Amino acid sequence: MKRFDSTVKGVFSEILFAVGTIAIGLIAATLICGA
Amino acid sequence: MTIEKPINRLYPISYFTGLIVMSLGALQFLPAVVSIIYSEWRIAAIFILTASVTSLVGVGMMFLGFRYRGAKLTFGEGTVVASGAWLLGTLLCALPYYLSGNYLSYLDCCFDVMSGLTTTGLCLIQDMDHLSNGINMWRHILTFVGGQGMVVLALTFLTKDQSSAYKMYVGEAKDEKLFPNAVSTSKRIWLISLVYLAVGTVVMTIAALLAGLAPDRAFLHGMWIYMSAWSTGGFAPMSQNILYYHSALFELCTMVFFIIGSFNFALHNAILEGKRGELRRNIETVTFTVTLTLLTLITTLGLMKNHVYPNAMAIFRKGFYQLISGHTTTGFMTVYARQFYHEWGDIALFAMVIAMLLGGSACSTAGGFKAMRTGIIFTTFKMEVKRMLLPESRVSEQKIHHIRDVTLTDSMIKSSFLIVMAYIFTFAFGTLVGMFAGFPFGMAALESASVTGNVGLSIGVTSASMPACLKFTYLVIMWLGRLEFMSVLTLGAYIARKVGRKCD
Repeated sequence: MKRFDSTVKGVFSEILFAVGTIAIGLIAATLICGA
Repeated sequence: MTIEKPINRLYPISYFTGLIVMSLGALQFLPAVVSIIYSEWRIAAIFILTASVTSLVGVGMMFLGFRYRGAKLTFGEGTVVASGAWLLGTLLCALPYYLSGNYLSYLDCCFDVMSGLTTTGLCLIQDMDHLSNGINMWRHILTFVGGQGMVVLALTFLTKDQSSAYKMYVGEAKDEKLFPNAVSTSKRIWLISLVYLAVGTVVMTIAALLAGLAPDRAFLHGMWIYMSAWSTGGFAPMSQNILYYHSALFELCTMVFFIIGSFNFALHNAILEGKRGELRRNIETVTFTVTLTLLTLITTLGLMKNHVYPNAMAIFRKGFYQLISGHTTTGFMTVYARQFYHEWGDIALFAMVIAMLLGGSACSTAGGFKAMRTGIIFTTFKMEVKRMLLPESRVSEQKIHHIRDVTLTDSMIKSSFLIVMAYIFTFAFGTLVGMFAGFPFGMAALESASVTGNVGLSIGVTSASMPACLKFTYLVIMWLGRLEFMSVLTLGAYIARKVGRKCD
């Protein structure tokens, strides 16, 4: 159970990191287009 | 006293190569099952035939070296097995493609197999939009298995010999040990990939359903696109690639999975075991974030300068998507190949070339220089500048963080520079051959960067009509790039030595 819990949290952390990385592109596009 | 007769080292090499080839034969039964489910009887028969032929070749090679299966491989022999199995595997895995009638020549079939196994994603297949489900399954299985590595596949299921296993594992350009032995490491790599296969297939199927696909197509497309994204492969079932789905959600989901797919397996392992702070501290994630941010700024400014896209969302969905797809060496596209050349302009294309060469993480499914080497080279420059400012008698030590703090050694720096130089020379050679084939510098350079970094984005050079010498050059470059040069060069030197001895 502890292992399953750790795996689920790990998968979510990686997805969150990927979403954060994608946000770089969205922020850059919005800021540069707005400027 | 008895003196043991030295054995011919070709026998153990044959045994272990046969083991890997046999696992590729067994793999061909999977698309046969898919073909049977969808009543594609001709394709099913082709797969059963080619699976039997490939397995027989593998078993034959194992039989030849069976008496010497206990012999320990040297590091050189391990790399010869890995690169030799990739070459032989490519020739045999191309059989179903050839018999399917979807290709113009056997070279085209081998090109697509190498492209799949090396997770490049360029293809020469004809009439892609009307392929059978069996052939599509095979294309995506090749890219999924290639991402993990075919040696890793064989080690996971077929061998217990730890010493030889590690040498073959290293030969496939994977030098991270998640566990003290290579077999357990290979099993963990497959476990991580299968956990994500389950999660990814569910997410991508839902995204495909929301994009308007019928349930059974949504499942198949979801699974195939996920397999391609995770392996940073770039294959898709439709010729328009990701553009076919016309869905921002679908594009977002693919981005999430190919970013995760470009992570180091040692990093996945650490995170899934609870060390989630690694994501913020690891040299590879830090390097990737820095280079991606800089290249995003350059690409966005370049696209803005040329007024290519009307608003921020279009720049994000077209510009940033291609950039991150190139940087993770995936090769999924949401623009047409020719748009790169005719619309993007030099600045954005320059950023794309750099992104494709930099690539993803070491010991991952991604290609390119790898963030680890970029990070080490940058740290070395920083260290050297710092050293100039310190008193001569002062000895400084530089550490990098990868799962744990590691002291930067001369051999790590040397190896990083060596491999990066090899990539740059290969990229230059690919560009030169492209120009000799009649393509302008910009097109030849972007395509060469894509092939060298095992990316798969195309500016329109790669097609069934390109000259055979260019197809062959790209095929060899994909193989060199995926195995990071040394294994292939060792195989070449080994063959040259054997041939030289025969001639003497």
